[in-house]
Amino acid sequence: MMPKRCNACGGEYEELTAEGLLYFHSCPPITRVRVIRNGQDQRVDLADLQPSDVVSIVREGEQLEIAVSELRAGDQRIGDVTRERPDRRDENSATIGGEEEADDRMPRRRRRIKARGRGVTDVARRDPDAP
Amino acid sequence: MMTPPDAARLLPALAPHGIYVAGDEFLLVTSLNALASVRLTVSGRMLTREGRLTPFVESHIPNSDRTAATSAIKLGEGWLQEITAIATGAAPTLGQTFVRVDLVRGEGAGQTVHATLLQGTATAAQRLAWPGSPIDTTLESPGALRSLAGSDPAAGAEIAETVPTGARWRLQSLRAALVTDATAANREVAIAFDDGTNTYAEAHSGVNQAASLTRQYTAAIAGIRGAAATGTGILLAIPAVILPAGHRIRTSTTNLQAGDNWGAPRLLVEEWLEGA
Repeated sequence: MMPKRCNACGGEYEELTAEGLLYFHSCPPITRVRVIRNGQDQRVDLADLQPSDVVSIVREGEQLEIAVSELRAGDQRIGDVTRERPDRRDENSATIGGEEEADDRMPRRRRRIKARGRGVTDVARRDPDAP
Repeated sequence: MMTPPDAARLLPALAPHGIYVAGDEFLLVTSLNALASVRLTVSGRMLTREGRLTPFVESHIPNSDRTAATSAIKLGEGWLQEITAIATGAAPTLGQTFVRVDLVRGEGAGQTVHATLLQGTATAAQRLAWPGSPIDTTLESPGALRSLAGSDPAAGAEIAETVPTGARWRLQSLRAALVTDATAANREVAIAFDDGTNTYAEAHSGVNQAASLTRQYTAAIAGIRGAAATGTGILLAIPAVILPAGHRIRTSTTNLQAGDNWGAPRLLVEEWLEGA
């Protein structure tokens, strides 16, 4: 059985654990950072954070607003939140609603899962001896 | 229909606990199971109206996602003498496979359960029996201990593992590596527990991880917070909370950067079946 990569979050996982139990992936939430960008107070995805964005930090006990490019090691960014990922995948079985999906691991070969999201892609198994 | 003369004639062969089964009644087998390739073998004997002891052996295939699977065993008219159930095909540990056998009549919404004869955890080594076995719930056997690998998140994403549908977990330990990118910032890792939306417990490492470093985090019940002597291992204590299905175990990393990369977590969890 090939490992899978989730097309929504990029997470990789094995569908069957070494002990013979099925593994059901669900996407982690996205970290959203509070920034001032173009003069507007807003939240952006962590992956979209720009060096020119202004973030709120705590430095030596004092709250400051500085550009991302000016962050120092001891600074603590504040105002982060998380939110669910759009098109998130959740392979756990749905008791109400959900979406039907083929599942070759199950005796009846089909299953209702909570959310198909953007689907999955087979990926090559990693060589544990690779550097 | 069994008549009094029939009953009198069959009395010597009848087990003292035997129950009369009408022709339109049958056994309904319901299972909850978490392990792939498990089958349940349900067997027993019927004493027919003609006085013949008739054995039956039926195979039941559970789902492996902890949702309920059902199958019917038609018995015909007579006296049910005994039933046993055992797991075959794979070797579930205590707490991974649960079975119930009811005596029922009818189908769908009109179905009536007359008796629950067997209910408990089945393994490949321990047989459930009627009469004899107690009617147990799924929570009465010890939780099954599972060591599992979670999803390896993409860079910039946190670890998040969801308790599967039909399960109940207690996290015993979690180990994962965080590789920080070159961005100047001190990261602090916490392990958070939430109900899918709201966080109800959070355990902080109390240790900073600076840029361009790799640190191994171990979260364990009764762990002592602090860094290992090697300087690369960090231990944090987590509460022994019990998480129902849909609740999550996740990392919450202060100052997480887009290039920071969590590796796949390894979890040791105690799992009970609740079913769905």
